Amino acid sequence: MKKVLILAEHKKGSLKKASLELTGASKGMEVSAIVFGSDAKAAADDLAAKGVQNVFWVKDAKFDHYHPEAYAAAMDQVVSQVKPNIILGNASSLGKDLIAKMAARLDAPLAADCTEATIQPDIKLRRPFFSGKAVGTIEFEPAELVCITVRPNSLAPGEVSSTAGKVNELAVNFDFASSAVQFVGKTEGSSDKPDLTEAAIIVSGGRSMKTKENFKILNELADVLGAAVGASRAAVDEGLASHDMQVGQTGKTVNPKLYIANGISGAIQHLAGMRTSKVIVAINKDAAAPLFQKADYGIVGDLFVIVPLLTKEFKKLLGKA
Amino acid sequence: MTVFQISTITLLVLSFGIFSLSFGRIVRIISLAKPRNRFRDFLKRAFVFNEHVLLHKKMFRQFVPGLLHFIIFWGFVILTAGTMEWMYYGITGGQHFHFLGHTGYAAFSFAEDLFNFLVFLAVAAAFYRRIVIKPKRMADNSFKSKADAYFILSLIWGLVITNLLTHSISIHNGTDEFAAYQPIAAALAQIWPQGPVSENVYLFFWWAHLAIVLGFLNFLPYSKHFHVIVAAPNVWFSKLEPRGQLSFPNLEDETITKFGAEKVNDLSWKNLLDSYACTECGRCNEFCPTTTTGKELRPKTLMINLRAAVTEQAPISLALNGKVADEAALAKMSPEQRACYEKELVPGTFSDQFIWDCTTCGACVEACPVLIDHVDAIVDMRRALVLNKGSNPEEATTAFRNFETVSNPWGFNESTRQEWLTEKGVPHYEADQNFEFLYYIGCAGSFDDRNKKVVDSVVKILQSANVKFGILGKEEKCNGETVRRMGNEYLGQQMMKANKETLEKYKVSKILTSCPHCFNTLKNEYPEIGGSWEVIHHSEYINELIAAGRIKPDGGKMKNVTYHDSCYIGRYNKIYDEPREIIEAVTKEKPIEMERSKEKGFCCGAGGGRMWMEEKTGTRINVNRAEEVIASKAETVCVACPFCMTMVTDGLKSKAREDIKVRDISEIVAEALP
Amino acid sequence: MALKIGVLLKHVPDTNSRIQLKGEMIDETDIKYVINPYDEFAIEEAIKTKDLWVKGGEQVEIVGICLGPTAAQKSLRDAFAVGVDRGIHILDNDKKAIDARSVSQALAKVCAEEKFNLIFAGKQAVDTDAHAVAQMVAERLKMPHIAVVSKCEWTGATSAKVERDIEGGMKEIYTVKMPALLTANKGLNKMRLASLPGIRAASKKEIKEVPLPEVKAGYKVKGWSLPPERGKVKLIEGEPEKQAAELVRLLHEEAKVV
Repeated sequence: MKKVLILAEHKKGSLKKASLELTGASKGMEVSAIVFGSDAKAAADDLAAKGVQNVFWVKDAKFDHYHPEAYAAAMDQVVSQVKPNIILGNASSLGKDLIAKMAARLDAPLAADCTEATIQPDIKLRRPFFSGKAVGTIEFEPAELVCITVRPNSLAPGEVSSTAGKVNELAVNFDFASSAVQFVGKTEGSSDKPDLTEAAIIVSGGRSMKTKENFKILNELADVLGAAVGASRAAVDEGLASHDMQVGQTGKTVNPKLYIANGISGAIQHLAGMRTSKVIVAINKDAAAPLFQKADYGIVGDLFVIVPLLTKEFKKLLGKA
Repeated sequence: MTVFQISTITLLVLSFGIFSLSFGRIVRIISLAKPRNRFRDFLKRAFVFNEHVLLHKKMFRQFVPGLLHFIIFWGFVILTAGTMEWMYYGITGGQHFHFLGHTGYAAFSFAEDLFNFLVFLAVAAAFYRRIVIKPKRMADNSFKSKADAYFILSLIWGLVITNLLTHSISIHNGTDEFAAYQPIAAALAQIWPQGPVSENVYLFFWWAHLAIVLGFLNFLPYSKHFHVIVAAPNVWFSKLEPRGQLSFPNLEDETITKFGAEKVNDLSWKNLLDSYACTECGRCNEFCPTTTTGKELRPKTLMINLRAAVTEQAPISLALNGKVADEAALAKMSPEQRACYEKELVPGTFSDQFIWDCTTCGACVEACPVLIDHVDAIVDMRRALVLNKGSNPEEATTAFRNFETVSNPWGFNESTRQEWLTEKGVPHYEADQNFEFLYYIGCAGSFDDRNKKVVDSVVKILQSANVKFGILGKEEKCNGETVRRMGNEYLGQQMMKANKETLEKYKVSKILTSCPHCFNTLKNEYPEIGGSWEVIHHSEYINELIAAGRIKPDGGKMKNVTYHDSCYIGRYNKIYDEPREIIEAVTKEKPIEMERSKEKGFCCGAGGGRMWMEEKTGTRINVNRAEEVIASKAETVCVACPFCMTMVTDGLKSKAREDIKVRDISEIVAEALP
Repeated sequence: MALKIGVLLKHVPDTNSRIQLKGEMIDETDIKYVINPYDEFAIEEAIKTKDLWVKGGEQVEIVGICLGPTAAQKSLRDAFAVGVDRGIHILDNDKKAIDARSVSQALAKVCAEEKFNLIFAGKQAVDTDAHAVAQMVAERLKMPHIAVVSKCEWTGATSAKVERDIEGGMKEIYTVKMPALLTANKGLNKMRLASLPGIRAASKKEIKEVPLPEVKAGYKVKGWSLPPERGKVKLIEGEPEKQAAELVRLLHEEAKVV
């Protein structure tokens, strides 16, 4: 039976949903997990409760923040102890970095950022290429150990088994003082919103927003979706939004999976910046707005009515109500 | 020889000596600058000279100031002859130009007398204009500039007054046998008291006149009124090539390592002459889109600051005799001199914003009575920034990248160019199939949904007139117009060459365009690299089809249409009437004319690559234009350019006047076809 | 002592390219290749760093390293045009190195020989999007790395303070001592366009072509599929409440983007 090592992540102690997608994928297998941070006890316990047989909790407060060398040293210790066949992580800031590093250290094949992943009985993976313009089916070359990162929200969360495992505190031999890398600090984002160019979801407003204050309803929707807020050139020109929010030819080029355009007519200057979005939603009073020709979904209606309703519906869906 | 003669001769020698030193210095400064061939085509130049110097063609666009200047100009010419006689009188100790014969001298006296009076009046009117009317175009002139103007006007007044007074004394004293031919001076003679006026009074005014003449002469080289001397040569040496033709610098010569105008000494002698010819009248600013909307760029300021930079650097250029300073020469300079020598035009003399503001609409060039070329100077400075340093506004980088990789500004995949037309069954142009012309669609018509509708209308019109035409489909490339005006000459030349190869491969001899920018560049710039074909804009061609009865728009259903001139078919190529005739054919009435139309047409704000850059300062150019459209009470505004289409539409939206329709002239025709 | 900065470059399809299939393979006919956009930030940072060090009296050389087919030399030339000094081209016309494992093996081997003091790379290549090769090269070189850097500030001769972008707009801040590898994110700098003298000089700079070392690929791609082309818009009718609920349902269940 193949053995799995999961790189688990938590936010202020509570296990991330994305990590549960990894336990779900490993159902019934021999699974270990590693989790970092002095505040990760609840997450470690949760992993054990989800049937992970061996949870390695790196409790040392020095590991509260990511340090590539130190985290790799910890992974090393666990790998040599459990000898996994699969190292599984999320395609998150941490997972993408640390698992790549481990793949090199162990000279193992790596399939990063998979959007479809089955690991048993056989490994079946698909991952996007060319910014999602093509999807490839991955077949590993024969190897003792493979590394996989999976994009969050790609798999169904679940547990490994109903039999709870145990939590082991892991002491890691790593000399922070002599490392060439020193963690200095962490900034809370200037906003809690992702950067426009990197955001997976963008909620965007045009001239029809009418006032700066009206962008509040877009911000509320964006908050629910974890989205960034963008604007058309017209909205920026009218002073409704700042220039760094501008999407289009002379603003930012974005490539999100979902782009919700509110009151944006869809002139070419705007299309130039967002036409590669995977799914485009157009909301506009004017049924003749050209953006409807480019959108996947459209609502002809008053955005000031529709947007708050959307916020309410998404809250319901995402359990944030 | 009398004391009088000796004094006159001494004064003349001194004055002309000093003048030739300062004048010669400026001539040398100009001649040390970079070459530009403006010496051929004598006849054409004579024609231009006649039109713009002798006849003051552009000056008369503003009739009153035009007339005043015309009088002062011709006054100057006539009175210069008078001044020569004055000097002759002094040198010879009392001789007149009587060798002209009685009739000749009578005419001469009459002309002098008349122009003394006319110039007197014109100067008075000019004072009135400046002090009471205060023309807006000169309101921003510096104190020095205004003082300079008043001083010069006073001198001219002084000249004619002293001239008249001197003559009036001779008449009063009965010593002028040609008194009958000088009605003004004769009338003026009444002011003198009974009995002969003392010779000392006569000599006072005589000397005063001469002193003013010579003072004036020596003041000129230090004044913006050096204009008086260089305006005429500036017109003579003006650009004869089509105005829409940028110079085509050699980028392949590896010995040239600096491009465009980076420093003062990269400017051509014509740029320098331009700056000396400018007398700060401000006509260039009047229809300038950036001046009008409160941006940094003002064409008048361009010339003033250029002249200041040239003046500042002159001692160094003269010392170097026009050569590039080597290490030894640099070492000899003081830190200040070195800083001055190494100062770059941007950012030293002009800010980046100033240089990048320009839409290249050419309103300034069109307005300038002495044919200064502002746009070429700006493009040359942009070239220096882009080619030498890779420096340009951030947004322009995106456009450059897109033009370079996929040959369109928006970054659409090249292989999808004109896919929609090919799918409609529009045939590919072939050399041997008797196509009447190639329809060169352009990027906007290829990719932008709004402008696809324009192309669609043109196609409908052509098909209904049974015109056989073809397109290039995905083989068409952007022709490089925009990137060249954005200073990226290297990329622009590459694009031109690639495009020319395709056009030649299909042996294209006639091209129809919908985009005025494609039109101008294919027509006026491709010949520079050997492109040889006829180019017509759809506004010309559709007008021809209507005139020939090949299409019959069902006129009269549409009313209240105004026309927004595109700079690149309008000012640059003088296509003003055709679009208006089309509108008339469709509406059965003359189009409503906006105040700023034809030569004075107001740019939409998108030319010169501005379409791909942010308009961050001042008010918005397209909104300014939209306000004029709204004020015209038109229900439809017609355009003939894809950029104007976008900008005017956005401007009207911004004013919440989407009820005013924006249509290409081809669209109103297509809609009126059965 | 002369300092050496390495820049890892990839020759990738321009992001405007249309990806199509020809049989089982990616159809390359209409694809235009350019320098990977994130690598351009790496190049710019290398140049900025060089300028800084040169001002400090150091001798600095920037070496671009690119693995790919013959055509990939264009990307090295483009990098030369903005200021990279010379290039090493690991020739792989047969596409043997296709995944993070094999590519990182090859790059690491060449980098080891060059003994770089500092290496810059883009945070990911926009074709394979693995986000892994640079970290793997660092690991193989036993060199510390910080990935997704959006700010790099030299605090001493050999140490820098860097900011790494992570989820939610947050940044982790580290100090790093050379030798080290940094991967560049957007925002690290504003990349420059090549000047014409730069473009000319580029054709004269040296590209050393080296054969692909022995590498082991980690995977192969067994078949491609393309996402469905955007169809006609689905207009949602009804009362606003119904419209909103239906849109949310469609985005969740049909489009699966939320």
